[in-house]
Amino acid sequence: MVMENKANEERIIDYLYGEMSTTDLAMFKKELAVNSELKRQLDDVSGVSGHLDMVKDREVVIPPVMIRRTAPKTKGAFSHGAFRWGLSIAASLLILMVAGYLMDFKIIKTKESTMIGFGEMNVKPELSELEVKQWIARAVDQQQKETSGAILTLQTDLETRLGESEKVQEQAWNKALSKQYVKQEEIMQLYVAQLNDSNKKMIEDFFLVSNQTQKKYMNRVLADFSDFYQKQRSYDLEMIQSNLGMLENSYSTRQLEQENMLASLYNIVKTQSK
Amino acid sequence: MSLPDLASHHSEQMLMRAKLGDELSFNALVGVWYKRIYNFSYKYFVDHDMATEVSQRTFIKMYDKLSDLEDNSKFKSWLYIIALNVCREEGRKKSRVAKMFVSENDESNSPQQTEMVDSVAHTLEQAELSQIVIDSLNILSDEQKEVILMKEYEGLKFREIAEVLNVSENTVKSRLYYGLGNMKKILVKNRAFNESYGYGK
Repeated sequence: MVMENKANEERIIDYLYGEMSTTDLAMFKKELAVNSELKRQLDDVSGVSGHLDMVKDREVVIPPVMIRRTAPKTKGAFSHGAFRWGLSIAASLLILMVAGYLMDFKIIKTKESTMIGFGEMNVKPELSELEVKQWIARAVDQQQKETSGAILTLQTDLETRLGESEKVQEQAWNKALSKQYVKQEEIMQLYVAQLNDSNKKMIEDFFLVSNQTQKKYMNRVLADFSDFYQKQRSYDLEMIQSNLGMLENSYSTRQLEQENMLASLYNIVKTQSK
Repeated sequence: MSLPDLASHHSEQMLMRAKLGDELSFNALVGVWYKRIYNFSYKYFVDHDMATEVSQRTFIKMYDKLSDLEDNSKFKSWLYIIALNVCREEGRKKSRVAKMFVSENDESNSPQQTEMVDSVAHTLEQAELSQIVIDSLNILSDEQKEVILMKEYEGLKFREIAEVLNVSENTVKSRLYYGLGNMKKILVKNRAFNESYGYGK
């Protein structure tokens, strides 16, 4: 009984979710009509899917996921937040101190001012306007000289480079021309050879065609002549036969006439002798 | 072919690239499956924050273990296995936290269930049928709820559900049968299962 119920449960689920074959479905429906227990079991679970459909999917904003591979974290005391913070601050201070020592960092505090700087710090007296002007003039002159020198060097360098570039271009040009000349020559030779071949082929074809045409013409003439000869021959034969017939006819007529004449002569002679 | 099946079909190329380490493809894969996993988790907990947490954890696990997936055709089942395991873990955490706040005088049988039933009755008065159904689902045992969620809402085949739960197809059908039966009883009890609604099949 328990086994039967289990089987029915599976069949009912298959029926509800349309996973029964046509044969099984027909059998199930037949059984359903007569088996009240099966019908009760089906009623116990039917109709729920419709209610479940009432719950619609919620719309959700998909977060912009950016996956990046990170190195595996080391576990232990070093990973503790407070320790790491303290260590970071200590390391930063140490770096600052070492950098300050190496760069000769100094802070000088006088009555009038506080000065912060690196290396030797000379507090010079204030410059006069004339000295500043002379200093600027000297600096400008030096700058001009340096600039002129640099321009001259640059110009020389540029000319040298231009000359070299021209030479290189000329060489490349000559090389390209000679290569082109050789190629053109090869192309011309190839062209002439191809032309010769095509002419030869054309002449051969012409002779071949001409021969064939002449042969055909001669064959046709001979055939025509043969035909004419046959016809003429048969005509001549007919003529001869006809003439022979005529001769024969005239010969018979003459023979008959002769016989008639001889008969009449015989009759005349006979009559006279009587 | 159901919507997840279709998504799975289209995401096969993405899956192959994601397995080779293409992060854009992985993100695209997340884009395809995020809504499904979120809604699965949401119906499991009826809680947006929990569903978001489960979805994120699921996709992080997926990223970590994607190279272990040997058969691409089983990606859907594989993803739901991860999601279900994460749901179960979160469910256990939630129940531990809930127990910490339960007083000794409380009934230890099923306080949540009693609250739920009351809540369902209350919600019926507000004509929130959808909410009643989803609340009723959460009254069911986890086994029955999981099967109903995967079959009814995620459109998984019986074979796929069996793979996810690591049980036989007949067991899946049996759990579904009793789950639907219990669901109907709860809905009838809460007067949500009425012919006048016209929602029954």
